[in-house]
Amino acid sequence: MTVGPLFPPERLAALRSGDLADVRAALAGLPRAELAAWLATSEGEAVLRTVFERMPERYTGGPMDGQQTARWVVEREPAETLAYDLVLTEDNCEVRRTGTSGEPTVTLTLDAVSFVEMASAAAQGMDLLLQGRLQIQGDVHLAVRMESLFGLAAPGEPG
Amino acid sequence: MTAHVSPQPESDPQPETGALVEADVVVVGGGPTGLAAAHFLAGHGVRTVVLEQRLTPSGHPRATVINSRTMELLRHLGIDAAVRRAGVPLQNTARITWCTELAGTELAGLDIIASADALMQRAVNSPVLPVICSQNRVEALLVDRLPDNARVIRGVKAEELAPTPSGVRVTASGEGGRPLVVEARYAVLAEGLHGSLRETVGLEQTAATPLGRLLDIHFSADLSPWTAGRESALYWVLNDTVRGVLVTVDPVDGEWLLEIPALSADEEHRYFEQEVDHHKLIEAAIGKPVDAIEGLRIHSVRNWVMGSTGLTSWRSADGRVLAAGDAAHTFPPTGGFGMNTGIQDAHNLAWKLAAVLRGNATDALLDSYERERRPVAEFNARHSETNALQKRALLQSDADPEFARNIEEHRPHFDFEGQTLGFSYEPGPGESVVQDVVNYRPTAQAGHRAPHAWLDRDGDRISSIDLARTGFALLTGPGGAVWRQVAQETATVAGLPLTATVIGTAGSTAADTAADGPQLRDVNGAFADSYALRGAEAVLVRPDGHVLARLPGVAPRQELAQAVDRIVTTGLMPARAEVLS
Ligand SMILES: Cc1cc2nc3c(=O)[nH]c(=O)nc-3n(C[C@H](O)[C@H](O)[C@H](O)COP(=O)(O)OP(=O)(O)OC[C@H]3O[C@@H](n4cnc5c(N)ncnc54)[C@H](O)[C@@H]3O)c2cc1C
Repeated sequence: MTVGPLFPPERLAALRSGDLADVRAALAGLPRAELAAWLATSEGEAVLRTVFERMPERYTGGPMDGQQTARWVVEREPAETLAYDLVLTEDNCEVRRTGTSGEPTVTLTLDAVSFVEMASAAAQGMDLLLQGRLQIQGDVHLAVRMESLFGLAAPGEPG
Repeated sequence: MTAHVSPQPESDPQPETGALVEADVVVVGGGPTGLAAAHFLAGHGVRTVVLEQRLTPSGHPRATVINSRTMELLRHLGIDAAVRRAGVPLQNTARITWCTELAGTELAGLDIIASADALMQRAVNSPVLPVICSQNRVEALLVDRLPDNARVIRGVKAEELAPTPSGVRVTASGEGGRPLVVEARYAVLAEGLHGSLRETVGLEQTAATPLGRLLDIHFSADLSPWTAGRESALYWVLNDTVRGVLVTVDPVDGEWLLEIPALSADEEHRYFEQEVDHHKLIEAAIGKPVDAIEGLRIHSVRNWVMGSTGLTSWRSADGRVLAAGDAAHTFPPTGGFGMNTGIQDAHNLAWKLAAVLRGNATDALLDSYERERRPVAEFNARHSETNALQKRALLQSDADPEFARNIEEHRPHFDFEGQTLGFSYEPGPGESVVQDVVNYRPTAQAGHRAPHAWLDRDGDRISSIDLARTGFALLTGPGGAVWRQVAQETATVAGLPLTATVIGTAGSTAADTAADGPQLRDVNGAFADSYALRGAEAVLVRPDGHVLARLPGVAPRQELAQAVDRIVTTGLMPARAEVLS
């Protein structure tokens, strides 16, 4: 197991809460390198997995050309990469292990800190992409809809 | 009526008309060029007063394209995010559509960002993306965020510009009030095409034969039933009643511009010389009766001459007055360069004025403004004219299945990253200011915009283009540590701050970062690739983000002194100076 920094219990609870505002508050002021190191621990991995499992709760859906798969690849060096497929239809989102739903329509690859930021609407995918932190492959139109599909537009940003 | 001053803290006394206001620079005209000039000048500590005759900004959208270079400049002003929020992100308008009517048959489409690769490529070129945001919204944000040492005085018309022993005196009149007098060292005329002061200081207008007149209808309507699934920046419509373009201003709130060029004498008559039913034109463009178009409301109708104009000289004979933006050049709107070129003029001029005002550069530096910007404006003019003629031919062609065949030929009208990021100042003999309109190839050769590369500082990302935002910057690789010493000895260049930054290689880690080692790390090798620095070589970047010189680092102090000397005494790019002198 990788040893990472110790976070106070309140910060841990907030990161685990799934509440976007709480997660954003927990991220505020936390040095990136420290959070990255923690997300590479098994405790961090558990939080990342929880974020994935809870993504369907946030799914708002929208017009969709049949079933589409968005693959998320979350890098957390030196620990192993986490990857999930989100299988999307107009009104449903299912989280699956990769490789069980065929080729993805789009693949989003990013570091764990950026993933947490994006999943909590602390950062916008387009900003992460422009900063070179997020790479996309495949269908650009589905990629740029990710945030609106999960109700993650930043306050004031078009959804 | 009294003059309106904005933005000023409530407690600040407003100058009364009849008062004398002193400033370093007076800007005539508070359009995008004048407002941008005020921001850039204020950023260099120059006290600036903008005089604007209109009490409130126009609500008519006019220009809508903010290209990537302009967005980079707005990013340095800290208003890029606000502009993006106020506008339509490119990813939602990354398409151009041709159709018989909006609700009719689609004839052709051009994807500007067709693939993830295309988007990733854009992200490599710049820390920002271009945005569709209407001019009136950009102007409002520029006014809103104006720093304290710049002020806009509204509701006053500059009537007279006279020389003084130390600069210029502008006499302005407010409605019914006594004249307001502004005394400054320099005047920037950002008075737009129709301003009248240029003539009075001997800056004469030139005009190419106009390419026709354009009718411009600004309206609101919910057009989503016909745009959903193929959201575009522009919808060109070709039918028997209307041949023109529907411009997306705000697709969420349903705000649009219908621009119809008069393509023949007959159409000139039809659109401008008799009573035209603008609702009928909208109906014909949409292909639905008015009562089937939800929320239709016309806000304003304008018409304007489509063509290029210029000035014989951009600087008055006494050197105190400089023209910028539409006052110096106008183009047809095809390509969206009008507002962008004006804002970038202001950016080129601001640091030069600051250097001269501080007494650290000779007046000759200001001559480099026209020398550098005129060729760029002229290139943009020619390109916009070509676009206009091609679009005119396309609008006159048959709306049949053949239509889509050659659509790819029109890409340079809409996809011009090579032009927006790749233009260079004082290119070598026989070279064009733009090498390739569509494709941008990063290069850190003298005259070019110093390329963008992400650099890491303890997990934070800084763009290489951020290093020169307030002064001169030396950018060097791990072999160039000596430049830090040199920059410490030479705190300023032409009166503006000089910094030196050593950038470590992509593989280096925090552990390599000794006290005198790299302060920033090349994130993915983009810096090494595009700057191509060897050994102790450094790139000296000007405050407007363009490379002044590449310095080999063999005799660093001497190399820097020479480069600086050239720019402050002649304004010439050192690399080009040999050729020109
Ligand atoms: C109807 C219309 C549609 C357009 N559409 C497009 C488009 O689609 N795409 C595009 O790229 N460009 C378009 N343009 C051109 C674009 O608007 C200009 O390139 C841009 O406004 C240039 O900015 P500027 O600040 O240089 O000049 P302007 O915006 O013209 O600003 C000049 C300002 O100076 C003020 N002024 C003038 N004289 C005085 C004085 N003596 N005292 C005080 N104030 C004075 C004026 O009131 C004005 O506010 C359009 C223009 C018009 C008129």
